[in-house]
Amino acid sequence: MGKAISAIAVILLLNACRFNTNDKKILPIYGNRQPVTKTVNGATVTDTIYQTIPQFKFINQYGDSISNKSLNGDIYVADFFFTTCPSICPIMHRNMLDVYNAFKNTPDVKIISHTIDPKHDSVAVLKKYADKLGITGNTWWFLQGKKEDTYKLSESYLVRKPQEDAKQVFIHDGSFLLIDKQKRIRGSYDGTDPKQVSQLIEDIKTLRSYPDEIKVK
Amino acid sequence: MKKVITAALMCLVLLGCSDNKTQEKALLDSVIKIHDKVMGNDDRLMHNKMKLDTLLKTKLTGVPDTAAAKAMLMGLNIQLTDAEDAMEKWMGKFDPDQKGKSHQDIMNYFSVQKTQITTIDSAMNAAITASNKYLDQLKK
Repeated sequence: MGKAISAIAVILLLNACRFNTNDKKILPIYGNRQPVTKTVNGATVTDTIYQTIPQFKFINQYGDSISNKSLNGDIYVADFFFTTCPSICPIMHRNMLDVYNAFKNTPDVKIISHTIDPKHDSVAVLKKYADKLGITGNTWWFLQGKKEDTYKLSESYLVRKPQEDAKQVFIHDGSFLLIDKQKRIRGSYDGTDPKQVSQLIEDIKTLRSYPDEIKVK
Repeated sequence: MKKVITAALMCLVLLGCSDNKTQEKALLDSVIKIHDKVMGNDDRLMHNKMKLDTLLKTKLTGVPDTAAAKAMLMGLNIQLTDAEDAMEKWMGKFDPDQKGKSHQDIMNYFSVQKTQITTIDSAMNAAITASNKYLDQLKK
């Protein structure tokens, strides 16, 4: 009996430790940062300004105008795709469905997928594409607008800027980007890898557990 | 004996089908591989196009304000836009599923698509190289 009680106590202790570790998990903040010195109550303090996603305005699959303000107070996942993509996009969005299903009833979590082929991917085409995936409501928006605007915005999401000599693929590399309520990049995941997408789901849960310390204008 | 022959024939047919599918998949994969390379280059194309657009709209240091310089910029921009349009048209038309088509039709279709996307890849590379050369000159 004593052994049984000891075993239960050890299990409870281990679970408690695991819970605490999860609670303390801090997700990194990606991108450039700038130290800013200011005076608060007569004392000089140094604050850090992090890179954030700039303003944007696009149209979603319902024909509604969606801007950065539409995502105020939300944690969101962003990616880039096009509906006729025969290679990685179908795999990415099959995996993104897991994110959608995990959070479709969670009001402060959204997904935005930017098309990089707006000439073909009209609002009607995006709606048909969303319907085919079984997407309803306002958790997952498929966005279209000027191609130049989408590419400019992608520079902020992808952190890296293209170098002429770099042998890397940028906008079409299948990344899912996790953005916090302060519009900062908190994670980058390979959208074609189910394990990384599972990690993304866990990281969204972690992010949701953080206090909203900074209000976004 | 008759049963053995029938079974052997069925195996041959099945093996033939499987071989056809393997050939179709290999050819499709080679088309997709070029497509993905083209999509990677599209990023560079768009960034160069945006830089040239800015140069056309604003007077910047290093760009002579002459008709010849403007024509040069516009020519490079058109070359990039044409390559981009060709790629977008191809993407809109390409059908990787090819449902209900015969093996030969599928192989012919993918072969034609491979030629087309290879041509687009070359045009895109040429447009990016030319615009890179021009933009690099401005940096000096």
